[in-house]
Amino acid sequence: MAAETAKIKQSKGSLVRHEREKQCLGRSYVPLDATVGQVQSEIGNTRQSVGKPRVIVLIPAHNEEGCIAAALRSVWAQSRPPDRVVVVADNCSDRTAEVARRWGAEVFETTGNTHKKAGALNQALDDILPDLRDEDAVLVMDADSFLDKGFIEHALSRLSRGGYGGVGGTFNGRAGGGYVGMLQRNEFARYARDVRRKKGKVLCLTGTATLLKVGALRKVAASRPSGEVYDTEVLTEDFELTLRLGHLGYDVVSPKECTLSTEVMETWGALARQRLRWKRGAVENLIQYGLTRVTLEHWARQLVTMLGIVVTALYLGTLFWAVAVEHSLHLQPIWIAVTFLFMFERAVSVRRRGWRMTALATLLVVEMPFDLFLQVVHLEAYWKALFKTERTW
Amino acid sequence: MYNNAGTIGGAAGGAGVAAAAQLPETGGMALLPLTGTMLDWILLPVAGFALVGAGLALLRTLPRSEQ
Repeated sequence: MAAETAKIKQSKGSLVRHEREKQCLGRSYVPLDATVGQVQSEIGNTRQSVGKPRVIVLIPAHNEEGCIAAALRSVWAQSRPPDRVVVVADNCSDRTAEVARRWGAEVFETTGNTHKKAGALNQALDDILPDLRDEDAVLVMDADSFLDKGFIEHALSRLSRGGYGGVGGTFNGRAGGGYVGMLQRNEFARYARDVRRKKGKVLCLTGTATLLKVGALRKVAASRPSGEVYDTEVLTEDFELTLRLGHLGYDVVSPKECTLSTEVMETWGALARQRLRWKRGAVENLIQYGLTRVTLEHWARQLVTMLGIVVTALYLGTLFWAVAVEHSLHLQPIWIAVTFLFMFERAVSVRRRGWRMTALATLLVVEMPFDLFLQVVHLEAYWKALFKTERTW
Repeated sequence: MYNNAGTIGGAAGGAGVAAAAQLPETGGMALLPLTGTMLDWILLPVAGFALVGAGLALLRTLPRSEQ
């Protein structure tokens, strides 16, 4: 602490001035004209000196001048503020770096990166990991993710329990996108509800925001021929990292307190591209790892989803047949009861989104186009994964 | 990337609706394989999946502590 104090005294002006500022700030050693980043950095130095884990936030950003300020605001407002915040400006042609600096973040600009987000993160991690200890943590979050206030505090608490390689969050979809946006917000709400009911158990640490233990990241990097944390050859680097952590013996979790909001895709086309990347990436990752103790549940879910697609196709086919050829439909009480059960489930699972959404979800047909849409994308993902068509994203 | 429970639920829901609308009057699902029509054979897995899906849907509606 003495060395840190001396360093600050030297860099921030005269001893007299420093002592005056020190009195004004009580126990702090930070000058009054310090930027938010300097304050956070000093907090980090203090924590380091007493052996507590440091938290470094990494925000990969490619032309995100529109949302980076709000993301940084949510980071600085954390109940447990981070020790460093680094925006990884990747091939930006807009003012992302400028806005990030103005909001108190350090800016790491990538050089010659052709591997998108994974490549950008690898470059930044190469730079910061050597200065960190195994018990420190790195929060990787998207530039369009806005953390809720307690995210870091609760994630760090869980990560410190041992056994965990990463702690993720559940997310709400922000406003926008009309009908397709509404469907995604319902989907996110159901996902969050499922995770809460499973005590935080998740199969994937999403890229929206995940706190990763530095020791685990070092083991991940050591396990790859490239020596890097992220696999740059895959479409879904977050899912691949989750699988890698699992195979290295780490648990992952998304506690209910770790929440955030994220943007939704505003058009069907954008949603199709996003989901195709997610689904194809997942399938390719699973093929890459094969059938293991870690991937078993993932494969089971893939199987059930494919069965669902087949059954839905049969449903539509027989419906068409019954109307077009047999000119008759027969309603039976048992199946009407089953249908009511599905209506009830759809309503209950979005109850938190308010009575209007609950009522709308009860109708089934309102959300059914979304399920059919996702099934078509799922089939396309399998097709492209199996026949290895060119990737564009 | 995350698990899309909605796809599974939606498919099962769709199957439920389909079955409700179409199951022929053959005395119930247990007799479906014996009726011999092509439509019945196709509907059998639909009905089976719908029942499994209904069971899962029921579980998802039950109150459960959240962490």
